[in-house]
Amino acid sequence: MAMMRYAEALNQALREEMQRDPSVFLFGEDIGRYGGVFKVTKGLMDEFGESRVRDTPISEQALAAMAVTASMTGTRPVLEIMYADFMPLVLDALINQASIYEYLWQNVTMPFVLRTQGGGGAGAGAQHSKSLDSLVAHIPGIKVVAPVTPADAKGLLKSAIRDSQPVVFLEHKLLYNLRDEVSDDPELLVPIGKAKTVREGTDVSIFATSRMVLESQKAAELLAQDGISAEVIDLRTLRPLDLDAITASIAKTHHAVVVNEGWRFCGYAAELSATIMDFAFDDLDAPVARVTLPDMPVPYAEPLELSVLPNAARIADAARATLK
Amino acid sequence: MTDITVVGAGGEYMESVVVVSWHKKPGDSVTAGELVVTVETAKAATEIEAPTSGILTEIRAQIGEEVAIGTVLGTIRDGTAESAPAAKANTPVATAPTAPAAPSALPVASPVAASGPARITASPLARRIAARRGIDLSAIAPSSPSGRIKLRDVDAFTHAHPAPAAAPVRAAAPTSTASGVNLTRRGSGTGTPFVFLHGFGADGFSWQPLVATLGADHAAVLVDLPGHGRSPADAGAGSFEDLAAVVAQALAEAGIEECHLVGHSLGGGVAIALAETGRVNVRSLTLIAPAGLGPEIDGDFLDGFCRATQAESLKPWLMRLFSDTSIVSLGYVQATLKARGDDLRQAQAVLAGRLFPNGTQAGEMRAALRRVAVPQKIIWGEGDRIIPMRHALGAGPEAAIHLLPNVGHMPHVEAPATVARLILQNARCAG
Repeated sequence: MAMMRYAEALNQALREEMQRDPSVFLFGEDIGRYGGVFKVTKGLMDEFGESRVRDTPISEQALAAMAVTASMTGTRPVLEIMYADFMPLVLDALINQASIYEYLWQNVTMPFVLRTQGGGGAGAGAQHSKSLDSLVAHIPGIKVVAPVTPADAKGLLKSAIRDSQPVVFLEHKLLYNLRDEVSDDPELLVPIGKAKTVREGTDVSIFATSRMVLESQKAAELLAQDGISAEVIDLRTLRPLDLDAITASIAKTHHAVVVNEGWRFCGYAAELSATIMDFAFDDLDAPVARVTLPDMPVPYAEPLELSVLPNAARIADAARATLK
Repeated sequence: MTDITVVGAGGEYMESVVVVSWHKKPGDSVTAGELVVTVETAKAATEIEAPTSGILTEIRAQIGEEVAIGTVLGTIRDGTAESAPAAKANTPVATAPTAPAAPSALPVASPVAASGPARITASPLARRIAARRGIDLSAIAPSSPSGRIKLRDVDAFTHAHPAPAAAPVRAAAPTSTASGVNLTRRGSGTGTPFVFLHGFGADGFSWQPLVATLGADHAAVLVDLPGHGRSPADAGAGSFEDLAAVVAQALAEAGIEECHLVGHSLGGGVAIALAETGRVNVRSLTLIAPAGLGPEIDGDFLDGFCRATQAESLKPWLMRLFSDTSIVSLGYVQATLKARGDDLRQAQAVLAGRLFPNGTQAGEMRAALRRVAVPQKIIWGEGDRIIPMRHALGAGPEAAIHLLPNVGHMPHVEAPATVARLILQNARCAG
């Protein structure tokens, strides 16, 4: 075990997988010489050379198509898209190629990983702060993961690289400096499709994704002061969803709060809410509460940005409301 | 077509009502706000007014029938009695003017089917559990501000109505103790229970409005004092202490070792005596217009109340209990009469003769109250005509005195929200 930052855990996962499998290669904007905007790929070009760590022009649409075709022809590419806000540029490759070719041609596999980072709270403005989870989670055939801890970041990235299907790997800019213990066992993987209960509770279940897991844990602390026992579930994988973990928790608490940093309307939280009603309706003692970004751009000014981002207080309020 | 359903007083905390009388018959014109039917709850009663003007077309709940809250008692259709035949002429069935309005109206009035009892709002979980336990959701009052019945409401109901063949835990909760004293449990709370001792001539049901306000998450035990309610008619007791001993025995048999104690009037005197014995660990003591703190009491009330066997003779005395006498409707009087059989009436007369001879309180509890070292509150209505409010000054220096304006001898009925708040405050003082 070693203490390391989330960004370093990702770097270690990439290094280990590149050492293990020569077909793994990285490409993206500024990931080589510069080491990535968030330094996730720092030092990898020196270690693995320019053919396996490639700096590319600014053309997300072309990069995504390259990931599809490279993976179809026997390699395991890991593409970095600098900001999730640019995901609309890669959607054609995901929606009309990556998610469809296996259906059209059976023998095709596309084992690529598309890493990107989103989220607000860094004063990055309306074009660099979005959480567009639902855009990619919407697509059948694409797996979507969003780790919160450094250990999960490493374990899930390794699983994603070894997976035979396309995986979108969602990071969060405010998580890169998070430090925690990470295993140095190169074969310790975190399975895709498994949620994690990060706090056990009996009164209300809070299902959260990405950085909102941390806010939900703080909310659980607030609720504990009121004598409310909140269970916090880190979904870790947005698609395929860990239904068993969700229904088991609701069977225990009968109250659900879903938290996602994306927009509310047609958002990922809406999908969670509907899924809970599909599979746990008869266990619900109150309507599912949704905590999301309002349907508006993320403001640049810090007080405004903080006023719209979901946070612990709002999550706690939502939990209290369901329990009334 | 407009439904007549039970709304207002009683509907909030009762599960069912009994139809006492219809003041209109089918075919009669009614005006919005006009009295159409009187229903009785356990002790209170409600006069149901016409929700709209029109013609009473149908009586669905007959006199003496017990119906769930929300049930449609009858229906009112637009129009007036004079214009009714003209309206009927539109349908070939009703050309004969002598055709009885109600039966012929029913089959053609398709909206009736669509306007049955109000839809019950309940969480999916509450619905599932209630169905499993065979509980009719219409009997359950929601405690959530959303108005939605939740699991806790179903649990509270289950707790209050233990089925004979229910789970062992429930079956073990006694409603009647070996000593014969009837205890009614309310609420699902697991904390220290609130034990309620009613006033002279009342019974455990008289706390319903207050307990409903208190909330289902507090455990409440409603005691029927000897000679009252469903407890044995033969009181045999001649003092507050005698009654307290019987109650202590009943609480011990029910496994209640500590409680927050609330007593009204006669029950107030008993509560002081019970707290002083130490046979049950009383954490806080809330006394509502208690007896035992001074010599005066309205002897005319006691005499008249004990003698009355008809609504006409009982009503004036009941009105003396309240500041707002409109509470004492005919239905309320009839319900009171019905709840008190002749054997109870005679037992109560004997008890009154022992405890309050010649309009005087024989029991003196001021010294005892000062020896009870727990948080104490005295609540009194400024309009009390049964026991003078100034008796509150007989309490010791540690008692908090709360005087309620525009309230008579029944603060727990006239101002249940305030009284509930004060009781909870007092309980919190006990830590």
